[in-house]
Amino acid sequence: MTYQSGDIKVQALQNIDLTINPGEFTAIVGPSGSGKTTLLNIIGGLDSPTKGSVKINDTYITQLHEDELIDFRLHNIGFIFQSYNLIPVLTAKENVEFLMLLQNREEEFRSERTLKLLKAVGLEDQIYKRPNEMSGGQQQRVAVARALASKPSFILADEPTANLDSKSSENLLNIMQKLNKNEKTTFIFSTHDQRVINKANRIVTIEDGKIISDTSQ
Amino acid sequence: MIIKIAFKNIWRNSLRSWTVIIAISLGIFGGLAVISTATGLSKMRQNNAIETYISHIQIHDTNFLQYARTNDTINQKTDILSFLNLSQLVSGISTRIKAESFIQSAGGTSGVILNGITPDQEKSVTRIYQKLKKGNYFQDYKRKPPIILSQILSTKLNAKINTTVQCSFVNSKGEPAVCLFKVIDIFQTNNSLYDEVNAFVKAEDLKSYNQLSGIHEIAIKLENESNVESFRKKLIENFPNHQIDSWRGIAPELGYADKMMNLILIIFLIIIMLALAFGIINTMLMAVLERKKELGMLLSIGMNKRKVFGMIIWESIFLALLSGPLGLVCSYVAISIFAKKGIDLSFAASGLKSVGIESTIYPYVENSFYYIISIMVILTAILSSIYPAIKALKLNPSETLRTAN
Repeated sequence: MTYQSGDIKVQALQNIDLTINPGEFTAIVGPSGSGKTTLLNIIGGLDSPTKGSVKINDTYITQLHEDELIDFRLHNIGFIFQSYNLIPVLTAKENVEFLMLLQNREEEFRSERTLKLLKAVGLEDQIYKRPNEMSGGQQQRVAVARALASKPSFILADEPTANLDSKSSENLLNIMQKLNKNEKTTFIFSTHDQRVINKANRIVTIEDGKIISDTSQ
Repeated sequence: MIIKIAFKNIWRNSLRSWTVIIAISLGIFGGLAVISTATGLSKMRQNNAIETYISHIQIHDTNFLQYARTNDTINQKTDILSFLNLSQLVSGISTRIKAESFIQSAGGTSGVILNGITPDQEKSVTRIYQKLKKGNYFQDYKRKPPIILSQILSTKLNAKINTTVQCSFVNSKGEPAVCLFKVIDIFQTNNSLYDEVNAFVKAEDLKSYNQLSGIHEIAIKLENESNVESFRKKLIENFPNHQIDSWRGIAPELGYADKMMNLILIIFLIIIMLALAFGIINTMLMAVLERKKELGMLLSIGMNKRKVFGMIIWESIFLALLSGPLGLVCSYVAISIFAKKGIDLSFAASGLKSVGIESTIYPYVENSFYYIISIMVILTAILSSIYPAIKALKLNPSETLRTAN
């Protein structure tokens, strides 16, 4: 996988061969610039590899057209971003409901699932608050609930604790771990936060765009 | 939800949105104010001319307007008058005799067109009787035949009420005729050019001095101005050997002014819509560029391009829906008030009068114009949001998430 940075073509990833199994809690670790985010973007269909393919369940997403890929992401992948990226004009409830609306889910289903998810992340008393009325930790928990709302096959989280204090990080990780254990939700996250790494049951280490180790714990 | 987000999005930067909304509203208000004033001015000039001296339709002998000979009278006078009397579209008919004359008084001389009228008939067609100093429309006079002069001519000739003036012209036999008239009243219209060359006498007096049995002109006023062209066509079909003109043909300058006003109206509309378009493009482009990361996120999590496009379009529509009605309502209220009260331009009265316009202008806009503007505002908003929406669609989600603030 190469990309252009100014006049220079940068090879971000090379010879990556990685299989993630359902229910795994995988951390992709490595120093800054090692290719963690690029790998997540490729898995999530946000970037396309110059060579190779990505297969999710039975679909080669690298062969999908742009519109098909957006639809695929809507139904199969949940995203958690480093800087939360909630829709600022919507409440916590509306943010979580949003993906289900895009999926044309029934109102009853949406309300029920939204409340269930917000309860699962401990925000049942914050449902009518907007992002700017919540702390960073609370916003990230809304983002987790939103990522789960569409019932995705797995969740990609790009450094989800990078902007959080230690208490909020711990809280968030516990929620994610609980969801992983109870709901069998697959999580793949990039991080260089040791607390996150300690919670992961599989650690994939990348350096200079190459996987240098892949261990389970 | 997309519509809800779009509506909420425009209030993210409420100061900017209000600035745009007020700017667009003011644009619409300003445009409509100018258009309504100009239209009111044009209509007033047109109505003044029609009601004061032109009437809606005039019938002449085919040669009369070209040569102005005394003998060029209307042949089928009786048939035409019967036809007109039977028509329900006609509200007034006046038969006139005309004579190009030389008028003299102790104080001066001038050229003048003598209009020989039957006062009761003329009242049904023109409003000269309302423009008199004393209100004596040929009711009160003794011995000498009466004449009504304009204020301009009266001043020029130094001929006040009760003074005698002498008119000379060529009669129907081609012989010079001289006759004396007594000034019984003075009129003043809003058109000084008309006033300068017209005077009124009784048709029967002019007939006898002229030794004439026919008439030169039939002036017709219709119940409704919109029927003028169709009724004129009907008259031409029935009386093809006559010169039959509508007010547009008689005073083409009024028709041109009307056409020019329509053109100005279109130009103003284009300017208003361009201002609106640039306002929306600028606002929406800023909104898109400011929200690159959020739009990238929406594309990432599965909002398809059609919905992103729709969201941007809706945001523009909301801006237009807020600013359009605000501008239209303000314009409607202001125009309605001034349409009754009038805009007082008495400081420029003499200048306006020289082109046939009164010093109080009543703005006028047809109601349909408000609907047209409403539709155009929304269409312009949609069209002008296409470019920012396309910009939004071209965003690369991973790129924006990586680089945008």
